[in-house]
Amino acid sequence: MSALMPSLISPSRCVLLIMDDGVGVYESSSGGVEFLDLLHWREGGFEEKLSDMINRSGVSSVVIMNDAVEQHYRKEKVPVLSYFDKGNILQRRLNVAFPNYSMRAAKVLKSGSKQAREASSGDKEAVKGDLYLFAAVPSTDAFGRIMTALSNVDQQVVGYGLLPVESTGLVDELVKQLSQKRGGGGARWSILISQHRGGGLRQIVVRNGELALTRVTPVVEPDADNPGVWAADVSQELQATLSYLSRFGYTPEDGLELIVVGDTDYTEPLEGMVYAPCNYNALTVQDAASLVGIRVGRDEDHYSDSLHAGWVARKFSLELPLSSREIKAIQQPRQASLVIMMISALGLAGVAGVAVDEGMKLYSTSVNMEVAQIQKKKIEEIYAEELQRKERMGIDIPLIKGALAISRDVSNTIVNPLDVLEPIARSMEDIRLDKFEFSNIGGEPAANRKPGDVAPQRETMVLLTISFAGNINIVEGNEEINKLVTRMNERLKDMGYESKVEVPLRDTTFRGSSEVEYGITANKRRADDRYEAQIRVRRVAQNG
Amino acid sequence: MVRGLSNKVVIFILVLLALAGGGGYSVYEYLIPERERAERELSGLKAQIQAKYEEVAKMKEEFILLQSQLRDFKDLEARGFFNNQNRSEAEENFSKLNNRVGILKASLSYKPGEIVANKMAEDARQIVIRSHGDVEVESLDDVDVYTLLKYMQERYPGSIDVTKLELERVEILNAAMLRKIGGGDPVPLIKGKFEFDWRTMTANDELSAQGGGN
Repeated sequence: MSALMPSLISPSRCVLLIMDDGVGVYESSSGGVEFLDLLHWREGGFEEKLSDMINRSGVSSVVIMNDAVEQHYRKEKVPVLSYFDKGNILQRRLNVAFPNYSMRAAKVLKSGSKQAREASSGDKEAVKGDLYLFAAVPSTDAFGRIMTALSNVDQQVVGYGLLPVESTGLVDELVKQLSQKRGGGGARWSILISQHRGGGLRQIVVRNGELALTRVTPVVEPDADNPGVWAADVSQELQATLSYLSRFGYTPEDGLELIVVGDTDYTEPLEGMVYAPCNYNALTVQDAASLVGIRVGRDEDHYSDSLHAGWVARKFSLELPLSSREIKAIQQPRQASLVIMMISALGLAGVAGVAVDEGMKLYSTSVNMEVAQIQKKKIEEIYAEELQRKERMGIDIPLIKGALAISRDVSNTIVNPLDVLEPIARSMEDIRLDKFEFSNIGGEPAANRKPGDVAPQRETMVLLTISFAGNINIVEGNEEINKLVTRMNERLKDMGYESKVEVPLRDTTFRGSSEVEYGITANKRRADDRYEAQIRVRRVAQNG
Repeated sequence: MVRGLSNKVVIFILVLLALAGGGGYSVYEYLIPERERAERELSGLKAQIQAKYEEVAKMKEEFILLQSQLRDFKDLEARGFFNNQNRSEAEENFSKLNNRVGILKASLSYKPGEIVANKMAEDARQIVIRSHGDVEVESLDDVDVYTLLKYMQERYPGSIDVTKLELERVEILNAAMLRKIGGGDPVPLIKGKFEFDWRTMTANDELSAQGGGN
């Protein structure tokens, strides 16, 4: 599991440099690049040793670099393609270009494309397109053994690249830094010469920032007692390279920047053996590394494979990654697992964030609750003190409030009959009242009432009975009764009462019945009879 | 387990997923509801505190108001609003009023008293009692009945709520009637009856001591 955690948090990377003799293992981290070991192909338990070495290094990812002799390059012009067709057509062209190699890749050359476009701009018949660098390497048994070793570890596989292509940027950067130091302009052509631990001499020729040519050739091992031998050998190889360059369009007027990385004991004698016009730069591995911002071990004096490894290790992705079924079989599940791990980790972090946020809120609420409990306790104490203070003063607030409220409710509802009878009596004048009935019936004023409810409405009524002598003129009698009602209404109106004739002395309209006796005895008897009229007084005012 | 991945990578991913899933479940199933419950509780508590604060402020305000209410309360007390409606005392009171007015005849009857449910009275540890009374009267003059009613309303403890009043002139005052009255025979000229509800408040425990209640 230790290899998993760094894969999420550490940028450390292992570089496997495939050489003809074996594979060089390098560890690159924030502390710099370190050569771990060179495992020869013939070594017993190669795969286990390599797996173990990668695991022990604690790196998060592995990048494989091919620095062997057998690398195949070709520059081809490809017509301008749509985004969707590009992949298929390039694959087809690669198949045609390298039918016998399973690991292939293509990369558009920017400056080459520009030149191709400029050249074809005037020629209508010329096919417009981009210049591509096609590359391929064979799928060897050695590569298969590395894949076996990688399948036993959990590190991410960044990809499989070609060292000359990936180190083109290194050459460019070195030339740029050296030109700045020297204060002059950069040449169009640059050659980086460096010897690697496998014994090969790697030459990378760059024109206008793009790989033009690369060679790896065996040279003698440096001999401290006789440094000139190495220089002479390298000088011959350089001459061979320069002879190739003329075929690529090199002329001395273009300018040539020559960078030789190695121990000064061997690189200084070389200067005298270079006859081509160039800016000769001899750098130690330490100097070259510091120029491009890479830290290499102090014991790195001559072999510069660590410099290339450090340069490649800090790339986020390869410039020309070679693809094959074997690499995809390891790379894709690990990339998917990394994505899943990242998403899960993000999810976990999100959940943790929400949990912390909620936890803080809960904690804050709990603290506030404690404060609120204290406040509640205090206010209840104040309330109790206030009550006690009033009780000590002999004031029973609920009793006072309750008694006054109940008394007020009762007073507002009940009706004093004398208050109604008094204006009636004043209105009577000389009319005699024989009988009256007063009633005030309705809801209970002291009963519970909802807040806002008005006092219960009652039916308040007075029925007055008035009699007249039997010999009275009925019409005049009725008029008297009507006048009485008018007088009463004048007095009762403001009190909210209304009076009206309930029963007249006699109904003289067609609705009334009539039975009259005539004669002397009848007249005498009629004087003793009495006519009765009734007036009803009702309370019409509404409560509230 | 999965092609191209070692078991420990798969287990690590599963653990991560389980942690994220379990954590998410716990957060949304327990932590968030718990926080919401706590916030609701806090909100309720704050509302209670606010209400109590307002009550205390109101009490202090009322204390000033109570100074004036206290006078009304004393008046109410003086008018005998707090009375347990003891029947013998009530009868004696009525008798005194009747003697003072000089009614020819007055018969009084009370129905059993009732307790009127009232929350404010309960809060004050009191109850409201209501007794329904019937009075039948005979008098020489209707004014005597009115006077009796007035006295009852003014001097009876508590509140008298007259619900019915009927008066009828049964005789007309003439020379023969005057002679009869002058002869010492009190002939009623007015007959009537009235009904009333008598309401007072009394302490709850006092009623319990008397063995009353609903």
